[in-house]
Amino acid sequence: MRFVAVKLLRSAVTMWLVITFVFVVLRISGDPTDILLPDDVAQEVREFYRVKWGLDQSLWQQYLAYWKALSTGDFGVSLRAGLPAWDMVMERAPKTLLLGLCGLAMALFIGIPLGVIAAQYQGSALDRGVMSFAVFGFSMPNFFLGIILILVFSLHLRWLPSSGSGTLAHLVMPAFTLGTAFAAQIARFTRSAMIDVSSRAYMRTARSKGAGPLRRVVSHAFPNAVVPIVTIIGLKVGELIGGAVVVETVFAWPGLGRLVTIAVANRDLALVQAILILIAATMILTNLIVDLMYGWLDPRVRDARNAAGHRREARA
Amino acid sequence: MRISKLAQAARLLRGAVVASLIGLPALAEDRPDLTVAVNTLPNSLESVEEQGNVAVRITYTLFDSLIRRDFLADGTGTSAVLVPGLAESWTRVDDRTMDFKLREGVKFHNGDELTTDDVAFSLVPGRGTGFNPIFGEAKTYMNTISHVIPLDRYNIRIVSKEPDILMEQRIAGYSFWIVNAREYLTVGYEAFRRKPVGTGPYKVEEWVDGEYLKLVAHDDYFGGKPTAASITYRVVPEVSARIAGLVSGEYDIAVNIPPDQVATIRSYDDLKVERIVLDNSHVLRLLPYGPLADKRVRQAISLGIDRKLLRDALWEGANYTPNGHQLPSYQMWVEEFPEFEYNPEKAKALLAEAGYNGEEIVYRLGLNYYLLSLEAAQAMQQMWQEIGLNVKLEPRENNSQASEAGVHILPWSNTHRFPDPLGSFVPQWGKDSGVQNNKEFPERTWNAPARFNELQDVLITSMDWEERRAAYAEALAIWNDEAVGTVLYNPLETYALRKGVNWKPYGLYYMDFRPYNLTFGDGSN
Repeated sequence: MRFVAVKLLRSAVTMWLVITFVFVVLRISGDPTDILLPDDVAQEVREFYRVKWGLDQSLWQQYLAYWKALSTGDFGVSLRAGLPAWDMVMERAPKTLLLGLCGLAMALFIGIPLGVIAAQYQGSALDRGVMSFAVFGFSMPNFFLGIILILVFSLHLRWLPSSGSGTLAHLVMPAFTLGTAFAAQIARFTRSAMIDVSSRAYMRTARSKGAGPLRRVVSHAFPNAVVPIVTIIGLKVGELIGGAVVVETVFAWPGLGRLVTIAVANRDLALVQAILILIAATMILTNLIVDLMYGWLDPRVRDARNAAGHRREARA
Repeated sequence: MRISKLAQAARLLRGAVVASLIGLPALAEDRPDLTVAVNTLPNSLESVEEQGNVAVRITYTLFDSLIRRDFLADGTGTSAVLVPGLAESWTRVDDRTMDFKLREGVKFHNGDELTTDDVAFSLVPGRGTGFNPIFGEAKTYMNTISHVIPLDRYNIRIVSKEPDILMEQRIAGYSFWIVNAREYLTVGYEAFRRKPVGTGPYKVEEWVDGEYLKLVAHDDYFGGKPTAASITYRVVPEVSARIAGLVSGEYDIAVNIPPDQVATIRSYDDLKVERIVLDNSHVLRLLPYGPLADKRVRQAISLGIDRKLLRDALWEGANYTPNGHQLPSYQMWVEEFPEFEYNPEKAKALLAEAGYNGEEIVYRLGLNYYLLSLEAAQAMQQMWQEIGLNVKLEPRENNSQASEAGVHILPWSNTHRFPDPLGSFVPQWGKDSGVQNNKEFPERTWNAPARFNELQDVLITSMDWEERRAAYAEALAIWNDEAVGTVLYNPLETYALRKGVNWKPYGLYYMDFRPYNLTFGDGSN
């Protein structure tokens, strides 16, 4: 319980830092009236918008006003759209979630088997082949892979639509692009975790009791190797909510990533804040879940935590 | 249970039959659907609220104005001839007053007939003008209107605050598009900005934020039956994806194509390019302080720019530099006004005379704002180096960072919102402009010669075209001599299209899909 409470307190501080930092940086690095209004608009009109958007007040007043509204659950109104920022974020979030989860599923589906195979055949040509793919997949820039896919599958083969989000076919290329880099990372992590456990005593035991190679991998090695993989997945889920900014732009996928790019460029503070609060909250939540999952996946972690709790109680 | 399932099945079947019968007219639809790949969609379709290029290319199709500017009158897409729009005729009553006779039987998207009530509502204070309008920018263009008097159902009088020689051009331009009063008042501003009702050839069907906006034909359009069944503007932010989708047949038109992609598009047999030089000038602001306090240094900067080389290298020589801060489409174009001169020798002499000693001149620009502005800046830096100017380039993320303290040269663009100095030159450089009244950086303020501002008063108040023209020529000469700014060129806007789509772009960002400017098939329009 105390463990969760400390985590939550830390989360609240993180959140406050995120909001404050973004507020200051966005406010001092560009004036929304310069960016949102036509460049040759009259000074009088510019003043009209400065007052309308509250930019005529001091940074400090604006900051307090923002917190005051936030404390009542009001995330503010997007300067550009004139719509409630939170509604705009929630409208886009499902699309990003869909793309992110498909990308993640694709990454796991490709990455874990490849990592396991590479570990099993460590040092072989197969291992080197898989690891080359991993390096390639990880270092290939998203936008480049995306454009190559568009060229091949939309332009030449004409099998898939180049952009948009209407149907399942629209999902294939962005999810693949998003999943590739991640699959490569997962493959590498899985491989090293599997190699790490393969020399452990329990693996020798499994071999000596006559378990076949498949059973050894699935029932003995993998469950022990899964903790570092879960850690990296936990980190990635937060990123996926943040939206694949580049992938969403290349494929015109209407998600949060694109929304945040436009919002930052426009210095549309309320919108940027609403998105970042959501991302920070997701990051914090997934980290919390991952922490809790360690205990579930690895009884030793749970026991250690319990023991620490008991020790504290004993001291008290 | 069984019976109710059967009944349910029968109901479904009946529904399917009815639906397919209803669908029959749709099947008989012989007009194609048009899909336009756009970089982004506006946030509002309320015509006075958003007037950026992203918005007007759509709202131009939804609304009409009393008087229409016929961009195609001379085939160029930049003509400024005025023809009847929603008004079939108009007369000048005096310097401040005009009477309009509306067309009868014009139908709005919701079936209402256009009356003078709609016109009065569209121009009402509180919408675009007045004390607290919903959108401030419209004030710049609408504030000249004093009041509107409906005379009867089809006759209406519009009165301006001051004598206004340009009233016709204003009414044909930005912000004077007519909305349906009943709809606006019934649904309110919030709903109207998402689904406005005008008289234009297409009406809003569906708008999925961040994805697409679908318009369908308004078959009762007074200008004839629309030639496409629907127009869908699809958001595709990435240029290469817009082009790929065009090649694969997903889109019919793609906007905002950079000049370096033109050759790629032309390499496909079934694609073509439509280009237009915009009614917009890329200019430089030369801030008259520090090393640029002496006007001879500013003149040298302008004389050191080889504008032809810039146009050839960056724009394939397909655009032009106007002679002075004006356009050939102006009614009072000063044709004999000299071209901007490129004369390195004269520039060097002026710098020597001014005692310029290599002081650093800072040229800052926001990235990704003006097309090719960084490339132009890099080229000009070299040109200036040759005449002995020490110009330091400082790219920044956005324009507001670029204009922070310490800058001497800034890129800018001036849109000629209607074809007259009052549409650009006066608001941008005149006595009420930010150039002459810089509160944030007073040292940058241009203390214009008194004569320049007197000439501006003539341009605003005179009702005599010859007097105005003479004043304009003199003001342009003063502006060149003062050299607080200079024109580089007018940029090109490039569209890529499937060859079967016959459509011409305009010098403003309007995309006109009225029947006379959108046809399909091999014939050209």
